[in-house]
Amino acid sequence: MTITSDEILIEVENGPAVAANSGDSNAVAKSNVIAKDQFKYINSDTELHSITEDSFFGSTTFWSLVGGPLLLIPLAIFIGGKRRAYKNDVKGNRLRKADKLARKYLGEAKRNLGDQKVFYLSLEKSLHNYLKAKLNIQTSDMSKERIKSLLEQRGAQTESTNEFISLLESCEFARYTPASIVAMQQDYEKAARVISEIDKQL
Amino acid sequence: MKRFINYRNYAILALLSLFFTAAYAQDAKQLLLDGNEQYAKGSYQEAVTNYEKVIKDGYESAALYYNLANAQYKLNRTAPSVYYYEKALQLKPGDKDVKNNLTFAQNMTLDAITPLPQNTFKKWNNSVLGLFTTDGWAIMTVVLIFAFVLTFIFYYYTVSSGLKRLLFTVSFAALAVAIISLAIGFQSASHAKNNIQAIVWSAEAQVKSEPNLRSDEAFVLHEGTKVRVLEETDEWKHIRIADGKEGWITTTDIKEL
Repeated sequence: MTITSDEILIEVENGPAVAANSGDSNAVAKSNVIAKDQFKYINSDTELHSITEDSFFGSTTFWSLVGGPLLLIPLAIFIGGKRRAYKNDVKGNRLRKADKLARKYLGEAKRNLGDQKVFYLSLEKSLHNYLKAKLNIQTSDMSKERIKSLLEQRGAQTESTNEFISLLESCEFARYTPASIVAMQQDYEKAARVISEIDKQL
Repeated sequence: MKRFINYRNYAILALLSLFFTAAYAQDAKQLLLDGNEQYAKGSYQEAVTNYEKVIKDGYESAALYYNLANAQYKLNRTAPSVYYYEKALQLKPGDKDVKNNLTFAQNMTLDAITPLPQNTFKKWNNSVLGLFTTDGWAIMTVVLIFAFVLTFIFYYYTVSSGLKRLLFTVSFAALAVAIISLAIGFQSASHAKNNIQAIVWSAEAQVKSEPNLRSDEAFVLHEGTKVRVLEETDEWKHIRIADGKEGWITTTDIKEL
């Protein structure tokens, strides 16, 4: 006579550790009693995410995050090139700026091109204005030698400073000697050029 | 004026749905917390109920599955505990606590199956794959691509030649690892797609040699044993166990991971 009993569950004090392979293993290999292993407590982390079917890998977000930054590289190279071109152009910009500067100062003088006295007066004034603006000093009372040395101190070349001084002299002479329109025109253009050159040198 | 009101309504609708999603998620978190409380008090069956409700509401996490498995283990339920530990490992491969407790659960299983030896390459390949989930490899790829692009741009703009050389090396090292990571990601994704695993759910299940009841029994499995699903029909699944033996088992006898 066979008597069957219910399943009896035996509690083993220290559970043997099973050396199970992760990955492709379909195995349950029972081995190795390691007495120290304890049944671990639950995890208190409450982060939950929804059970979605779509994985991140291979999604459009994924590919755009991979491809997007890669596009930054040719963009950065392009911008670098443009920046260099712009920097070189800055020299051209400075040229234009200097010319505008000259025109600003000489504008008034230009308006008076017909009238000798007024012309040379305003030309002198604009030369002094330029010095005042660039060297930040009142030059009206200074001697020409002082002006020359100050300009050269700031980096102006000797040739340009000489021309500048000669212009100032022309303004002084003009008070006594008559000057033709052509001379005035020439002096005007010389002034524009010299101012522009000195400005680049300073 | 009418068009303006429509935009406002849509905005309100969007905000409300966001609010409800957040509230819904909050409910799930509360269920998880309640479950944890009950586990702490020793009310394992109530804990199981709460944990299962979280899953039914459509939320999951490695911790949730792990806690549920623990509770099932405390109730001496072999198949559910093994099953949920394996689910937890799917989300967090290599988690020490999960692996530790899984061995306890596996001690409740009856089948002693000696696995086929794996060749070294396959073993190494599997251990690399097992480092991260597929999405983990995806994130690593993205991070490395960002690192590559940043260091490359710095390399391009740096003037000092010593630093330039260093940045160049680093940037291309980052790119190389990114490509490797992407390749592993592809392998991981295809591995997961082709390698469907399941846990035997019934206390005892007959594995037949053909997908019908008439055929011979190939072998018998008991609850908690892990199997790999090769193919399926309406009511049967073609499975293979660790020692290479194959057979057909009824769909209701197992639960896929």
